[in-house]
Amino acid sequence: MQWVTSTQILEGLKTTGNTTAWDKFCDHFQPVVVNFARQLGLPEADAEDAAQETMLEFLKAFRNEKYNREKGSLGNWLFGIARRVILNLRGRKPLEQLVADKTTGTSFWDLIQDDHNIKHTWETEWRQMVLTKCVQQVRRELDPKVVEAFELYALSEQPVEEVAGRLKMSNNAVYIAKSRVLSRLRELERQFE
Amino acid sequence: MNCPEYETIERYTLDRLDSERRTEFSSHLELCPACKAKVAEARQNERLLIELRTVGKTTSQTPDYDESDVATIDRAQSILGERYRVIRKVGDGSAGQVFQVIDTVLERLVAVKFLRRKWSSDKTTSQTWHEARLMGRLNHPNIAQVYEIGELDGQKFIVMEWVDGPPLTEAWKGLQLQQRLHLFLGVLEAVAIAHERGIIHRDIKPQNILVTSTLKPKVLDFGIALETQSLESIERGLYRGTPSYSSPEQITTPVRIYTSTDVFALGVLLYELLTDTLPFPQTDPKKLFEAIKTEYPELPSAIQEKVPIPLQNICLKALEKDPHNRYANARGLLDDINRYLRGEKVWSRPSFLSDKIQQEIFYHCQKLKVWRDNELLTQKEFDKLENIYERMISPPDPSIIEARELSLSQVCLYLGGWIVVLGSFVLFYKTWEQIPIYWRPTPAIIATALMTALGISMWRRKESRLAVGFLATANLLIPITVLLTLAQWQILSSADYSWGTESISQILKNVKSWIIVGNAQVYVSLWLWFAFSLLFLRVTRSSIFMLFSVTAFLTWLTTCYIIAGMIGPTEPFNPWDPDIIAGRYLLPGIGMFILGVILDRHRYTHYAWPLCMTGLILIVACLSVIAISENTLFGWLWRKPKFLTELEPHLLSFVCNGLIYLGLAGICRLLGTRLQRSLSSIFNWLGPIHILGSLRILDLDASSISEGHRLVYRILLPIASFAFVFGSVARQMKSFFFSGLAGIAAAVHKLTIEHLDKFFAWPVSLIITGIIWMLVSWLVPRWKANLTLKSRK
Repeated sequence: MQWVTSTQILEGLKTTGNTTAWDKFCDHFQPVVVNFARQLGLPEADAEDAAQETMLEFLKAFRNEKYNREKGSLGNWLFGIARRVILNLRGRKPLEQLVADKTTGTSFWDLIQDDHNIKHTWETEWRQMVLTKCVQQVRRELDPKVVEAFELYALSEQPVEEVAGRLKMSNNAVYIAKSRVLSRLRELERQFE
Repeated sequence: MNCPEYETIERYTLDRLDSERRTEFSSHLELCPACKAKVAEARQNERLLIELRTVGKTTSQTPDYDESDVATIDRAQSILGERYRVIRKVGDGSAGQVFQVIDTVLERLVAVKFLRRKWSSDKTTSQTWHEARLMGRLNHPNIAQVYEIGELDGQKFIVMEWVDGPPLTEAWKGLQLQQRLHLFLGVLEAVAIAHERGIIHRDIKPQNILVTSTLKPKVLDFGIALETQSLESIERGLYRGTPSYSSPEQITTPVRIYTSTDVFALGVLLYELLTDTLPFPQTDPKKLFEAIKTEYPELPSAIQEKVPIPLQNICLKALEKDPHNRYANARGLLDDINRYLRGEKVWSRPSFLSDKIQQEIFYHCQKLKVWRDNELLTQKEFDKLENIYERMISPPDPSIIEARELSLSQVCLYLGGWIVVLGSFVLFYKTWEQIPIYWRPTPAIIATALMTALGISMWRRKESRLAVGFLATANLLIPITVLLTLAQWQILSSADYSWGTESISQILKNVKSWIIVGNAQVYVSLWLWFAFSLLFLRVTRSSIFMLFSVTAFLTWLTTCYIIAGMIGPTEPFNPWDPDIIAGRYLLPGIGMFILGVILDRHRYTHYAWPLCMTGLILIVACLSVIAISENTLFGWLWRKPKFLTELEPHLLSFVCNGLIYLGLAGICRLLGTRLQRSLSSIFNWLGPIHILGSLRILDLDASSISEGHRLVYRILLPIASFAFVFGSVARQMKSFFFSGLAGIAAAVHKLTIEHLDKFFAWPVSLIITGIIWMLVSWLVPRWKANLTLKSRK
């Protein structure tokens, strides 16, 4: 899939009936909301519903030009909507059902009163999404050998000599691979935001 | 050096270069902007990498369970029983597991911590268990409370308050320094209270301090934090996590834990508060341990420009390697930060900085000595520099500096003390017949007791600035109160410790409506004063109490003289006569001076200088009085030569005094300590001023003697002046030179107004003489040089 920045996605959403833009938007951001809702203790099906609703609400607000990038990042705007939607959904559920859900092992009992923590959960999810997208893009862009060197040496923390021997490259090349991947990741990360 | 391979940059960023290559590369970095940029980029990359690793690990980590341990929610539920309903597992460490639980009776959320069995049997755990019990009694809004501790089938568990929120370091992101400090103070308050009850946290780190939505920090796991990492695991390189908050003593065998261990962790937090970075940022555990044990953190102000220096000093003091150099407990740290916030001066200095300074200065002083020996520096300049350096190395107690500083609060304190003393003294003015006898001295007694108690308690609380103020007041009050009490309650009034003719009460009878006191009463009060001055001196080491002891001693001496009738209003001769009094005080003066010198020789300079200065003042005052008195002290020393019999008898005394001062100056210089050298320079000024001044005064005064002899004085003054001017050459005596010049001016003035006021030739001849002197001084050396050249040829 092609690399797009959030600005590009939002540009696409401006034209009504642009289904590719809408698909991309959902592909990027819906999983974040689903995970977030799940983290807050919603059962799987409800989490999906909440995410869907959040997407639609955002689109409505965006089309009505209520969203202004000057005022805050896309992440924050989505967070505001998702939080409201999830809290509404929670209000409609019997308390006991939420608390005693042992299958997921999570509950938002503790989280729901605490804005700080909710925000923290959201930010972790958001960040994970951004990093995952960037990593995917780097894989597409760079030589697989470079990416492998990076994964073995930097992520799995294997000794440099071992990695170099396995991939038949010099130690210095392994170091450079690490630097290249990380620098590119940072660049993509900036672009995306 | 050419730009190195990328490997070097990588190793440099990860702190894996050996020290030699590190310094080499560091100096290269200074010059090479390209490499500098690469390093900066690598650092940012490293931050991203850490994040990437954690993203990857959140899903992959699976803790290893012991079969018998509480691993599942169901098992936890079965242990906890009906009352609690387990919701989920929130934490799992090697020490135990934590579950979130609803207390159905009290309808609140709680956290339940199950201790692992292998820990439960451990000795440290029984200690932990004991502390958990103590914690149950500890109630503080900033500490997560322990509600219950229990045990079932050998499984121990602790029920605690449920706290949720981000960790401290997360919560203060984006906050101002003051707001961050506010949060931090909450933490300190909690830890301080626990320390006061003898509970040590052992594992203070941001994850254990959560900030609630109302911005209240809560310290978790207090006293129940377990030693989750064994030393063995450290040695085998198995230490998990980043133990950035461990203190040196926690990672050194044998492990010792003090309250100051927590202070270290709090210091790390404060460092993060100030700079947003860790003091020891190494990620590799082995290197991190090495750094914690041996390295000093970078100065916070070098990382963040705006870091207030007092806070930096407080932080570095908390991060001292030696636990005894840190604040003893969290209260000390809290007090110092509060002091900073109140705008007061903070005196804490990290010892490693002063060690460093001390070392540098030591080397520099060695150099200075070489320079002095090679005459690149004069002795005086050397002394001045050494004086400054010594003050830098061992500054007097901060409290002393603080007590000496005349800040508004300090002035108010001393003024208040002075008024209290005056108030108590006023009680002497009357017998206060209308008041019951036991109430008469009570105000003074209460004031003295209050001042002493406040002073001691302030001293214990390390508020030395206030302590010195209160103790000094108490010290002045002691003789007054004791004397007043003895006199009013008529204790010791029958005993009369007099060996002479005079009694204090006889003297006091002349003063109307003054309370009558007996000799014994005066003695006792003065002895007590002296004793308490020495006691306070010993406790506070403040030199003001040295002055008080000296004053007490001199007062006692005076009292003895009066009582013995050696001075005072007694017939037939008048012992109030100044020269008699001077004679009485000369020996004590000399005694004090010698005592001061002895103390100084034994490096008690702090106590020596008040003694030496008092001694010096007494000696000078006595000698001067003796010189002008009728019965000159030196009259009997030798028979005056015949040609001097007509002269004023004082002349010899004055000259003798001058010579004594110069002799003392020489002795002091020979003694060689810095205090003595400065006393020596005082005597050096006193000598010529005394001699020349006396010649001038005697000339004016000697109206009784014949004109011929008066001429002697007139001639003596310029001769002596010239002698001093030229005498200055030998030892670079500025005192001789300038007093000589002043003496010549006085002689010229005298000659002009008395003899030569009508001769115009007089000023002209003076000018011409001056010019000749100058020409001579210019030409003679050249002529001399020529002469030597010629003789060599």
